[in-house]
Amino acid sequence: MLEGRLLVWKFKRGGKDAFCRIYEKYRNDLLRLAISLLSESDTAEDIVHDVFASFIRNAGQFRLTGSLKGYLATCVANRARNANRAYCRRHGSGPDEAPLAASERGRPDRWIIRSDELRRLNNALAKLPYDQREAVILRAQLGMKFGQIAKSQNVPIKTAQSRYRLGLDKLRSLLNSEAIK
Amino acid sequence: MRSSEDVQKLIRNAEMHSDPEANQAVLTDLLDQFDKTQEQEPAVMQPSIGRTIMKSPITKLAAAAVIVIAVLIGMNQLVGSAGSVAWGEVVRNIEASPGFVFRLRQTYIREETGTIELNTMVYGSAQYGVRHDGYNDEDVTVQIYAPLSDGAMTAVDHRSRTYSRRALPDDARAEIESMDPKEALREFLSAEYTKLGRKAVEGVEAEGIEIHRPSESRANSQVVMQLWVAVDTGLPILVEVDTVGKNGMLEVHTVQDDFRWNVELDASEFEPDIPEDYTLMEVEIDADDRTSFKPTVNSDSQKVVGAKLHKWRLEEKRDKYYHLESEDGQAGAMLPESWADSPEHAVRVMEELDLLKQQGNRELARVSEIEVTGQLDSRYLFYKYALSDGQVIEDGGFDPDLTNPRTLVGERREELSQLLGERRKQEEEGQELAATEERQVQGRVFTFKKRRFVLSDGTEIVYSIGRLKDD
Repeated sequence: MLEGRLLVWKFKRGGKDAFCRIYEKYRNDLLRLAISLLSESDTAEDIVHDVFASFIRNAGQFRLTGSLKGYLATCVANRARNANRAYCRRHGSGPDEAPLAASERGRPDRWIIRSDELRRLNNALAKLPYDQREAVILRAQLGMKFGQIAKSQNVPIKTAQSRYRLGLDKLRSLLNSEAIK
Repeated sequence: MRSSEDVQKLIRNAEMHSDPEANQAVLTDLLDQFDKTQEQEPAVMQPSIGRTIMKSPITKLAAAAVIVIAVLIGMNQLVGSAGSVAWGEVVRNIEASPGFVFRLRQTYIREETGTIELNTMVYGSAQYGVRHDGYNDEDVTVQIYAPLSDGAMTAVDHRSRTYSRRALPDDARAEIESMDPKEALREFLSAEYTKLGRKAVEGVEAEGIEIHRPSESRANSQVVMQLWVAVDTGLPILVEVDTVGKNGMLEVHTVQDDFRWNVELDASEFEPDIPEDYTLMEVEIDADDRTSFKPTVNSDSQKVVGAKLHKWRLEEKRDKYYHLESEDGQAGAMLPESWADSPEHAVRVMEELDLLKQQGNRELARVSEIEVTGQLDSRYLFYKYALSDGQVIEDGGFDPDLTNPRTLVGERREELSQLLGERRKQEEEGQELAATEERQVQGRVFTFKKRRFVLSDGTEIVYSIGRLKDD
């Protein structure tokens, strides 16, 4: 956490090297978070890019009160949630239903390179309702506490716990049925 | 068959890589954006000197004090070491300068409060004293006057429209005198130092020295100071002071730059310029903690010394408000039309309200707070005033005791207002989306309704409105 603070401090003083270090240090974690939440690579990549760009633009106003990774991850999660809502409004469904393979074929300059394992996991995650998927990812991937997840989703803690439990059960079931096939 | 634990492990450990070329391409794009923000920064930082802001948002007198204290910390650390005096020409050049102006930027990095940045312009005159103007973006929010002739310090807070004035105890007075950077630089040059050689500072060839010493104001902290002097003028062009804690972490970084030497400043620059409608606040200085220098506002025993009651007149009635102006043209006010039956009544209400405010004859009724990423950003206090015509009206202002500067402004503030409106609509439709908590404010228990929001840039906001528990 302290290194994050020092990086932020140097970054705010105009430290290009500090920004590069922040980017190198957190880029992959944020990409993995975004692709897990959205499955759709283009949007996930755009979101991570936009989070870093916003971080640069708002450097003057930025105040770090927790960990830098936590802050950036929250930004990604928030933007992913907004992207999901926007998609739902436009299409009446979630981005998880978008033709994933087609979108990846359409962009040769792919940023995210998924292992087969992650691809299978993402495909299963995509079948969860977004709130459950988010609860599972925030908890299992980022290690967020249920209180933080509840705060992030603006729901009571019990709801967050319930979403996590239901999502994890469903995910396990999906992965097991896929293994049987 | 996978267990839940297996699935959790899979989520944690499933591998993902990123394409190195794409990584570099994205980084290049981001660094371009970074460079653009750096190019724009000087324009943003450019202060509009002498501008008096009469807007309502608050900046604390305590914040003003922090500016002073920060300077004092920086300056005090320069004092003390005996040693060979070098660069004597620099000292003479400094002493020959009748006046000077420089920019002071300070960054505090603290676990409990996060990073705090303070921007100040400092004006100094060997003859007249020192003045600090604290900025929030382009607006002068706080001014501190320390005229040599006076022996008192006056802090003017343009956001809360208040000011404080205090004859300082001897030791503090000595510190205020050390606000003169000439003294500090003289001490700097008398310490043992390391030569840093030459480099270009803002395009000017400069020569630097560096000194290290234990911090006198922070236990277990080390201070590293660099002084850069322009080769052609022999005058300081850049001073940087880093305070580093025992764990090696930077605690405070101070930059003094944009120096202008040999400036003729007028005596009037150092005379406190206090608009007539500003309220005088009492100020306490805790000898053990100078950063606690702040106004004390006690609604039961508030002393208002030198405060002036305005004579009001109606300017116009527009948009369901009476727009009033003081007869001297120095103050304005808006009264909801529901508070008065006629323009004459509005004037009477305003004059009575003015008096009740200055007497502190009021009762705290509601409190609204905004937290930005977990940090209290602003607090607005609503007071009830009982008027002689039987009305009880509510009027408010930002909490003058809150040291946090308001950062949620402009588009982000508007976005919060929009989200708040939407949330209220949802609540009116029966959805209970707010949490509650009880807390004391000014000795009374308030029940706060807390609503959480996330702005589009990822900023987490908590908006709380507190009402008296017994209401």
